[in-house]
Amino acid sequence: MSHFSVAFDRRAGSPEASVRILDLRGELDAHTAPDFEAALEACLADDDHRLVADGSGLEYVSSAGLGVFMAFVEPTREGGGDLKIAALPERVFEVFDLLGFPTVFDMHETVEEAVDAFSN
Amino acid sequence: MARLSLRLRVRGDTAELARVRQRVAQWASAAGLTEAAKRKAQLAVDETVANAIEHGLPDGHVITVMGTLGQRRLVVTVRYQGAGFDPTTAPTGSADEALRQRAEHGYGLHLIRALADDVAYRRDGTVNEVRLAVGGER
Repeated sequence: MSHFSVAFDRRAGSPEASVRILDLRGELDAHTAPDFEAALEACLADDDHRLVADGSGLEYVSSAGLGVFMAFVEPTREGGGDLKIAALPERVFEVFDLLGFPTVFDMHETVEEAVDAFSN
Repeated sequence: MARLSLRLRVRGDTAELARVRQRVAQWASAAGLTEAAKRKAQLAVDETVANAIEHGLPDGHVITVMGTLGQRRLVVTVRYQGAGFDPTTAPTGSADEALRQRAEHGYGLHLIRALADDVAYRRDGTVNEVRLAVGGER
């Protein structure tokens, strides 16, 4: 079975303008995508729209995972924030890049850069 | 001696996808393929099996994944019973259009078509067969 986890209790930025970090680990596929979707829904339910997906622990992504990212980019932007993507390993970035996702998402090499981008 | 063929029976359950990827990777590595070729094969087969699970498979049926290694490419056949779903003709529009519309589904077909050198589909009665040819550079 695919191993995947998403923790989303980490925050960065200032207290009055915090950014919530989602730590993705393992394989994001058709089996595990609902876990990622539930985490993003929980963030929006908490009224957190400034989100960074930390992909440094991500080992694999398939189209089901890409679809979850796409489902939440506009809701976060409509809420005054964004869903930024950071620190993807090269082999995972290649899949995003193959379909042109970098034209839609604000992607960064590090989580710190992604968090700072909310201030710019 | 590396096994130069792959034969795998998969339950119609997305929990099986990780095992499919693992077996494809083992097979591709044993055959001496590059990491890049191995990843292409893994993702293309994953997407094809996921489509079979999502679109066609009645409860209790299995998917058969068979692979053979040619001189220059891998040929993987995914066979399952159920409703027809032809990845070569299913309408998807362009990937750019899907991105503009923020589509949540349909990227699997774009990936299959982008990763595989050739995709073929045939249906015989209730049996669907998708054949992928993936570049097998070593």
